[in-house]
Amino acid sequence: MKLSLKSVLAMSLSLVMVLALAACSGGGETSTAAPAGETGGSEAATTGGDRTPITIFRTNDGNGAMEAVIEGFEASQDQYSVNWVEASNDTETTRNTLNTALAAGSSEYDVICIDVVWAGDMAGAGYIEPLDDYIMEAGHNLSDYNPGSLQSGTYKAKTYALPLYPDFGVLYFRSDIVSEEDAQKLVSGDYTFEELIAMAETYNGQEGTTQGLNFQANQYEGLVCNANEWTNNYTDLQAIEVMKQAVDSSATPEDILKYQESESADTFTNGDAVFSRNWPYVWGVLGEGGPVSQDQVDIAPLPNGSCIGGWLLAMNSFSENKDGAWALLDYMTSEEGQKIFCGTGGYNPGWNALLDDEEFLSMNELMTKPGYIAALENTIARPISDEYNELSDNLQIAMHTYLSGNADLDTTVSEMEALLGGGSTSGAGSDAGSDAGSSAAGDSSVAESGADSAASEASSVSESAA
Amino acid sequence: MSMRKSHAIAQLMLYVFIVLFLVISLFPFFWILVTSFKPEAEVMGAGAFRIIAENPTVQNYVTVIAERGMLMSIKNSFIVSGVCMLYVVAVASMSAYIISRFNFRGKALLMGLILSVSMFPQMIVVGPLFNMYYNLGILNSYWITLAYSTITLPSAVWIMVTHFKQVPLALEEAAKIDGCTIWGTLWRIIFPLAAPGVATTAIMTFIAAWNEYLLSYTMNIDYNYQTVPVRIGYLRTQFTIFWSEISAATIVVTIPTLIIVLIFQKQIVAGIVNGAVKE
Repeated sequence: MKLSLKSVLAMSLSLVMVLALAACSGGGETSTAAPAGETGGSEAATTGGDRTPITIFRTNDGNGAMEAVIEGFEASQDQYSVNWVEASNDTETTRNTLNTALAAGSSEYDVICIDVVWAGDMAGAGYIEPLDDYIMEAGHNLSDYNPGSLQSGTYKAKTYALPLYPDFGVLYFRSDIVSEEDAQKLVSGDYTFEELIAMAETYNGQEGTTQGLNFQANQYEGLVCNANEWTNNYTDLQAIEVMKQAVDSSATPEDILKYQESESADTFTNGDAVFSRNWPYVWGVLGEGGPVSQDQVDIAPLPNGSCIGGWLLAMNSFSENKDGAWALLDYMTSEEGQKIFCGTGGYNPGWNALLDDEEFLSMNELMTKPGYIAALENTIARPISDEYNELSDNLQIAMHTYLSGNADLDTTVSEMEALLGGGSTSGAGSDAGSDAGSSAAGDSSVAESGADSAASEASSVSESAA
Repeated sequence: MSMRKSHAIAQLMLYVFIVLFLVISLFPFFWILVTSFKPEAEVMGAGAFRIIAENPTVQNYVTVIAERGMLMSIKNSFIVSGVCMLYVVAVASMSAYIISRFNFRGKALLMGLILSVSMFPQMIVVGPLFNMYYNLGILNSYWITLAYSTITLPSAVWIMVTHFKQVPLALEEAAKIDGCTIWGTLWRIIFPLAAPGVATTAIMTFIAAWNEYLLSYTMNIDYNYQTVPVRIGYLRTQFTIFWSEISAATIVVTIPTLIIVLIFQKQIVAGIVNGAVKE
């Protein structure tokens, strides 16, 4: 017995040694490669030994878009290869990872993909590089990019991030339930939220539906997006009362204050809801053969404009190869790369010219829907702040408290006013813009972006003066 | 008579309680198993409470293993948790021996310090650790096991101290008389006699390392070094979570840990039988 215990001990000790050695050599391999960017990403460079690897940090949406655009980039030049490090699909987790890495001054990633609301925070902290000089040198104009999305990447009148693809809120409705007349009205965008609530109450219960309308009213980032639409880009704060009407209405689910995207999507695709506010991805879910098919559904823009979501590309200011980083970033955000990326993945393009590209439009069925195009052309950004996280949290709390009936309207509005104080200038600018936007389609979005960037410039001037 | 009757009632109530307790605590595992055989469309919605899905499928398992790269992360988890377990047990037994058998100044303080290390919130530790690993150039490597000791080592030392203290001093003195060195006493006498404690520590360390998420996600983001909990976090899109795939992945990764724990459980029993009663 003694002997066997001894041998067990010896064995385990030697195992420690062997494994420790294995760990060492594992570590060694990575550390030698580290200066030039991590090796062994899931999409490691396969071509050319003398190419400089550029590392990009982005999620894998599982649709082959990243693979395709990387292949396109590597074929378009012979200087750089791409190393793709997969980010988590959980937005908050990805944000934490990036903040930890960038706070340490890490040059691991050259190009990072960021949520539209992070740009202010990250630019303020000096984590990401202003891109204006690069954009100018490449001969692009800011008006080439999706305005709402571009505005999200603008901080103190400088462009810090370019649109990879904009996402925006749209209203899904059951065209097999809603009357032709109402459907036309919805698709044109010429309706108000009060009218929407009334319609939801009318149609609720038809064809086995149990909800007239749902949207995202849980206390989380989605509430800031939804309220952005209801309050006309936070210019008409009193309109939060209408949102409360919707929450209290019998046409919305009782637990709507807990609704996030997945709840909205699940009930709508299951055929429980007539109207549902959500992001464009639900269209793809409808195509998977559930109880409700794409033929039964149409898409309308939201009355005051659609809140911008989606993703931007930015350059790590600690990158050791900024020219290479720009080469990749520029490829992915301008015409050629956008066509591959958005075409393959079914995303909306951040590069405006693609909206006139017949070949591109034929790759995405949504682009044939007038209501969808109308939404894309009238987008609004969330407030921009270098302390966005805190602002968003406080807004969520204030609004959710009110919506759940624990605060009165006046208190809530003045609380929100105080929170948005710094951002009120930019709000006023976009108000003018979206008024123009709702009166006509098309060029209005450009007008809006002009107004917005002028406003944010003005605010940055006043900030630096103070 | 009545006493026997009340005894029977107490017995019955005990059994009812145990059964209830088991049902409640095992239900989540049961439901994960059920969910793992459902197609994604049936997880929520009208048929959500069905135990056997309308269209039962093993597709989730195929997807998780073949397409989602779960095998790679299982391998990584084994390496990382295994190394961590062995090294923590080795280090902890040495420290525990010193603490339980020798008297030195500041012993209480040392124990307090060890305990307080385990009380640091991980969120605070992770930043400095990341910086250190970044500057050493060992991010995305199996060196993560070293970082795991911040969460596993303190409790391991504490558990082992208690177990080592239970080993009768007489045995140690006997070994000393026979000419055994301090090293020899630790590895030949104390370590085997405290086998149940060692096994407990090993299991706890292994499980803590296996389940660790934050450090692993922050420092080993590269697919080739991702551990299981991190990889499971990838089974979603921005707005939807693939519950049935997550369930399948959970089942797949639980099986190996279950086997390990069962093996060690045998060791615990063996340890008790062999080492204990000779006084």
